Amino acid sequence: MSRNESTARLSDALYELSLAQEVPDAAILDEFVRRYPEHADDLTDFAIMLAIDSLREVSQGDVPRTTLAEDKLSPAVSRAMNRFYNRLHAVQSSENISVERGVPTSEIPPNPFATLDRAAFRGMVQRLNVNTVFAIKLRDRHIVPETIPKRFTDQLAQELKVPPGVLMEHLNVQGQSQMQGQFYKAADKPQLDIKQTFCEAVKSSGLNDEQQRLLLAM
Amino acid sequence: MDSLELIRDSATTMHSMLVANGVDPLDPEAMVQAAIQDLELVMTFLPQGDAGLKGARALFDDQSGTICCEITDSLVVSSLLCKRSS
Repeated sequence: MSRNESTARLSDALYELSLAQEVPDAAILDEFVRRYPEHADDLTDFAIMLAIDSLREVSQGDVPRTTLAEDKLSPAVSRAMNRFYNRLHAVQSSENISVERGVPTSEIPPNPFATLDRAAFRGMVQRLNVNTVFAIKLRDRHIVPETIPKRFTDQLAQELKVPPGVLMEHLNVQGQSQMQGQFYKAADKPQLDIKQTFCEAVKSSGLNDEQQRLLLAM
Repeated sequence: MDSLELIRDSATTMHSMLVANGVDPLDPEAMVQAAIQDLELVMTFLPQGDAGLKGARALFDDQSGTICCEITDSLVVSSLLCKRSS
């Protein structure tokens, strides 16, 4: 196999792995290492990177651990999985220690929207009587926080099950929030720093007249 | 294997399924609407340059399952933008 073919095969393997599962676990890594044994190290590093990324979102969550029969593992797969779990354990331990000591794990406060799946996100949208576009603008900090009525932020914080202070901290972070899973059709790079007032966002997000009237009356 | 092959396969499968269900393959708007309905997505048209588009002409937000698409004069262009962002 030529070097170019090998690089292309690695690229395909990494791409497939990224699509196979949102957060790779031992089982999926095992499958890919068996299929692409020559790229075991790169696949393991990539799986670790994806898993660590997910840990940043759910710092307290447990990573699902898959039980595999030890006698079915080749030495290469065993090494890859050991590295995977050791690195995950190291990251989880360091984050837990930081939390116990009261040391912030990051300068950026946690995004209270990050844990919502699609159904939960839409449920929140429905109960707030807004639409998904308006909620995306809130989540991605496109709305100037000082212009959002306190009554609305209180309702939103209640929906997100976080104290209002935590929500305001998220909304006040300088710089834009970049959620995973956004795909663009654009001529240029995405512009994440566009800001609107609450009033402008209400009027430009495709909300119906009744929704706009209720929000602007807050 | 081409890295885009999985996406092409998925799109081809959906296209065939929609056409088999009676959607006109020569009507791009109908195809897009049917696909959006099948995938349980939401589509919204926004003014050009709106914050929700983040500088793009169209975008797909996975968490909310929403396609935001720039308002254009051409129905065909709008349909293509929606198709390519989903």
